[in-house]
Amino acid sequence: MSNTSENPNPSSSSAKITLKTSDNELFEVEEAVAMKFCTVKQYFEDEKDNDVAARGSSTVIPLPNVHSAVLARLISYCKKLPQSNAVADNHEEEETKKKERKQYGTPGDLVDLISAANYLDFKEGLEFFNQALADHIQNKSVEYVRKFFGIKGDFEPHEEEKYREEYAWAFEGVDED
Amino acid sequence: MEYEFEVEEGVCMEYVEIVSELFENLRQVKKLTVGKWCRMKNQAMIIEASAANIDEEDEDRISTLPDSIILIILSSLLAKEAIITGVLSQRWAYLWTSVPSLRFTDTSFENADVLALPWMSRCSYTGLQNSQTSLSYSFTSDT
Repeated sequence: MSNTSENPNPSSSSAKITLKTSDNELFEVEEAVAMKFCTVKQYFEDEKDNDVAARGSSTVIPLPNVHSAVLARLISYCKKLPQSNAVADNHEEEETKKKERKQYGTPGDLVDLISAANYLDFKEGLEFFNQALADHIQNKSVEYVRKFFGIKGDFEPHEEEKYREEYAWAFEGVDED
Repeated sequence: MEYEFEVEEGVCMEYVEIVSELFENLRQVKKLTVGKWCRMKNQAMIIEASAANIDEEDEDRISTLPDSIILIILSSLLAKEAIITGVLSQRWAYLWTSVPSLRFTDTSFENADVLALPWMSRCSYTGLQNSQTSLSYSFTSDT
């Protein structure tokens, strides 16, 4: 079954899939990239089952929860993905990854990217952008995290004081910035 | 009769002229005020929009993420870092107690047992399976 003409050589990179974003922008993406998004993959496979004649290229897959600006960034991230999924095991490599994560800018951008990656069920992307957010919590002070993410502290002063006393050890030795 | 009529006609015409001039003026005033009002309204809308934009810049977006995603983020942190997030705001107060894994380092180890007990009882209360939860301690050799 795998040798039928319907299943072309996997090395042919010409197969394209069209994605339509919430603001009605059309993106023509290589199949290999689009298949990283499990939501798209599922939709694509369902379509294929429903209509054998539609060989992918003609179908437009709507993504009503994803804005074009966000999808563009996800696709460019997807294209940069390393072939091997090896975890950075040395310190130097981890530092380069950290720098790379820093490029993804404002907390608002990151939240958009995470929401979209979550909706698209894009595992590597979700992991990467979650870590990019976590970078701004790791070893940071409460004040930094609040300021960076625009979180308004809504505890009564005595409540906050009580919490800080209860877990005093956790509040020791963090970066002030 | 003729004279009276003529006078009346003249007065009448004068009157019509005055009235139409008045109407014309009114129309002009209306045009001006409406124009001005529209411009003011537009301006107000622009100001409002830019104020909303500024708000958006400052807006707390991270807290709008669903719990499931925040928990993934928290579980990549050390236990002490996760605990600190509990003081950020009410939204975050107890989120960290639901993370599926808590990681302690040697420096925070002495507090780990105190903390781990309520956390573990919470895990069993919420019905999380052991396979999904983990509690880990790491030590450095020179301590």
